[in-house]
Amino acid sequence: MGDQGIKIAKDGINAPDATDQQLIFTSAHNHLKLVKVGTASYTFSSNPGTGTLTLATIAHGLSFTPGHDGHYQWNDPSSYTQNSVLPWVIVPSWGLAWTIYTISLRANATNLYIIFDRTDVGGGAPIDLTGHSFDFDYAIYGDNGA
Amino acid sequence: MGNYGIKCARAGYSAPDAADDEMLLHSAFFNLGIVSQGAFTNVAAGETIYTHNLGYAPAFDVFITNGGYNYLLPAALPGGTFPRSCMVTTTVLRNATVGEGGSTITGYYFVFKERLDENLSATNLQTTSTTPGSDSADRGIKIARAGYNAPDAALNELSVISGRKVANETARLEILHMKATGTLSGNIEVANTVIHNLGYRARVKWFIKITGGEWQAVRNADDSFINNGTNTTNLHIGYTGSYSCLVFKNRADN
Repeated sequence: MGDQGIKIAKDGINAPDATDQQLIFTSAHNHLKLVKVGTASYTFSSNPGTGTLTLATIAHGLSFTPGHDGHYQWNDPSSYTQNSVLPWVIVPSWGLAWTIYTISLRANATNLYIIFDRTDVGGGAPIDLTGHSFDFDYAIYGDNGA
Repeated sequence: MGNYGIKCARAGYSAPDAADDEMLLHSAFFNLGIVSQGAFTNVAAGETIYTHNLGYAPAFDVFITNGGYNYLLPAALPGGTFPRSCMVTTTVLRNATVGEGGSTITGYYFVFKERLDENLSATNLQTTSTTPGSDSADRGIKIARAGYNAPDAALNELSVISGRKVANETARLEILHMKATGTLSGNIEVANTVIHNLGYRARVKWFIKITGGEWQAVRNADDSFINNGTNTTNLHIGYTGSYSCLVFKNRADN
């Protein structure tokens, strides 16, 4: 049986002759598929201590560990990065004593997780996240990420 | 002769009326095609992950496995470490060198079709959002990847799928709205701004090529940050060199 499939060229180009760069779509390639998108929110009721805190757990229902990415909106009007891609990263104080706050996405074969982590190196004075709220927007790929 | 083409709306939307970001496939827009993908194990700093030989530096994603989970690079790991992006050249996708902040990694890569050294102008065809309807029957399109049988193919064996009969799960492709390249400001206080004029916060992928270096992905880290507006995306980073930004039709504010 010969080659079977579909390819669509961009406007003005003849599909049988098109290069890969000139194709809008070709079934010869996989395409990045977002099979589950959604939102989550979290408000810090108190300032978190050191360590990792799970802010959200999303069951993806896939038979593999998928790829993923996400975005956040942060209710801190003084920040440059109110609306951005994950990870969220804050290094409040540099120098001999410093603290790192991060919010990241990670996945395993069952779930996608939104996690917060605080790491203190030298006991620097951290910002207080009490009352800070985040809205997250995540996308789970229909393709492996591990 | 009239217009020719193909458009397929996402599950629940009507193809003739759907807004650009409600489409699954539209022959006026490129999708983020994957040239190659695969797992890798214990690739040392500076070593090649995959030889693509495309003749141009392509966009890419790399996930690493750490502590039983996967993270998209560049990442922020528990414990306050920031694994750096991998690097891509016109021939290879490689791990960062030790000098570039790299270490031995295990994970999964995607090399995309889109090249990083060119611009693609934005096109808006239909910007008015529509309301999705409910559909109890399975309808749509699915195209298997080469060598797989569409009716039997698993999700990661399909090239395209328009949706699944599961509530709140509709498949969508990354439809490319525009690509923009430019020169980095060299000052973290001065934003590198890409104007997309979509009217909503869009999904984006940023890449930079530091002077003397190779193309790498960039996200928020201890030396860079991104701020997305409804019509712009902005990268703040203190290096000199070039940037390339892919902006997609899909929203980042669902």
